[in-house]
Amino acid sequence: MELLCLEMDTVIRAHPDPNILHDDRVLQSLLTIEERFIPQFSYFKCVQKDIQPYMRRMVATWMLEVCEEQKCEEEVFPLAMNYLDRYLSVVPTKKCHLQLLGAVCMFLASKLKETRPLTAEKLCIYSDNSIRLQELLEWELVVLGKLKWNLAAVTPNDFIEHIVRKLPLPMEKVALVRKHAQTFIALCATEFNFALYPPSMIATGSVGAAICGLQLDSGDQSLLGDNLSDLLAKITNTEVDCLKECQEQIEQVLLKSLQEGRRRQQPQQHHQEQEGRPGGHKGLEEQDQSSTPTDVRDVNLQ
Amino acid sequence: MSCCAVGFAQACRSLARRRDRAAARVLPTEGNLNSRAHVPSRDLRPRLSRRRGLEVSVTSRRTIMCRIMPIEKRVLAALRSGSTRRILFGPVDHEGLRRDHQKLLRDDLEDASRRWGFDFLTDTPIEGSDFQWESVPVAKVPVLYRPSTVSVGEPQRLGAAPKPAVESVQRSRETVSCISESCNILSQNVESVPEVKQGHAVKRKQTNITDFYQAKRRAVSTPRKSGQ
Repeated sequence: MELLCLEMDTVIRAHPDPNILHDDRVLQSLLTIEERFIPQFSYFKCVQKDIQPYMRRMVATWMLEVCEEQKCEEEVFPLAMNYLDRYLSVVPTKKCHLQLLGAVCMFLASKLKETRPLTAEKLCIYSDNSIRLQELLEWELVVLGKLKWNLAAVTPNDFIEHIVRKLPLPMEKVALVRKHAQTFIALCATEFNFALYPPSMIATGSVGAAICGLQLDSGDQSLLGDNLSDLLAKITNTEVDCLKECQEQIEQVLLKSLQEGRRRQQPQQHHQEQEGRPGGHKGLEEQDQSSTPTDVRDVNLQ
Repeated sequence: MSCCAVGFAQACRSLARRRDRAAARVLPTEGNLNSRAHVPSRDLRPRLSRRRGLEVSVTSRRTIMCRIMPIEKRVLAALRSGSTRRILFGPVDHEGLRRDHQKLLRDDLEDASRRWGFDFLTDTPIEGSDFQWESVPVAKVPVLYRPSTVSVGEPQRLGAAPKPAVESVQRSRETVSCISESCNILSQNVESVPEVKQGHAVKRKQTNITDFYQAKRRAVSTPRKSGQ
């Protein structure tokens, strides 16, 4: 019998570098160059004929699942989506080739960001072998060419540390805020609307949404509602109104995705019960039941 | 708004927590997938879903692992829709894919030719371009730029190669054949190096690409280093 132990599989990381994170010039540079990596228009209108927004969402969701399952670094997925959007805004593409492109973009982003990148073989398997290895490798070069080999794009994740550092957050909450913000960033990357926003705005909105959602505003006045928005807006030179709008949109996307998840939940629940999971999680489930509101749609975000 | 968001976030978390059940995964045991892989093994997954009755006997021989996702991940788990291993848009048109691939490579090659004033197919300079090319013996070129069988044809296709000297020549036919039949490059014993005729290189228009592309390109690309 073969046994796999994931706990052994540690990635050795560098410590956070204060020279980078505590220097405002880095943040300013990021803000200066971030515009270069944003698609200028909606390519659904002017470039793509075959590809619809819902298809982008489908491929994005698949890419996110692969990245999650493979435990990729947080920035891999948003970066891969950036590649995909930039490619699609220059090359008309058929829908049956979209999954291949998604795989290629993950392949590239993973190689750029990870010490142990995703392998081409794994990506092919995740496409249920509909993609051939040779195709993945050939198209890697095409995508690279269309991106002008310009792979080190600025992603919202690049801003998180810079933003979080400047907020009066309780020490023990920083990691949680960071994690939630990263989650919201990933969620944003699945929605095309956000692809046209500057990464700094998405990052700022995500941190704002995370802090609001975690109820961290009870301790410090400056983390309260408008104060927080003003503070966040100042850090990344974003218009306060834009930022608030962005944060609201993030919360709406969150709501939408959870509603979808909820709709799908019923059949899946049945499914999983059949799979006969080992026990030990009952407590968690019971807790779920008790804390779940009768209907999420009743929650008003406006 | 914040209190609504709070109630909402709690709802998210609890909903997502339920999805946790989806996180119970069967680990792959295929030798070729290394330890980080969670890829369902080639044959296991379909069997599990189709023949539930046999599931216990199948899984008992394998390792089952329940991974509990962190709370934040559960929000994303709400997006999940069944197995990660799946075909999204029906069967892939491999022939069409090959054609598109070749066309894109050819277009890139043409762009590069126009930009650098050099016909990479015949390995000859194009008259009337912004660059004046002259031959340099292979021996005088740094090793990096000498013919290589690994990166066949790459620089041509990309149209962004910083130094046309990379367009080394001595490519044997077998190294080229598989990628593009259009890359039949003649063997010569010289390298070509461009000299900028004017003080600056004029950014050339790409006639076969839409206006949108050009706008995008200016916005996205880094300042061109060559020709400056």
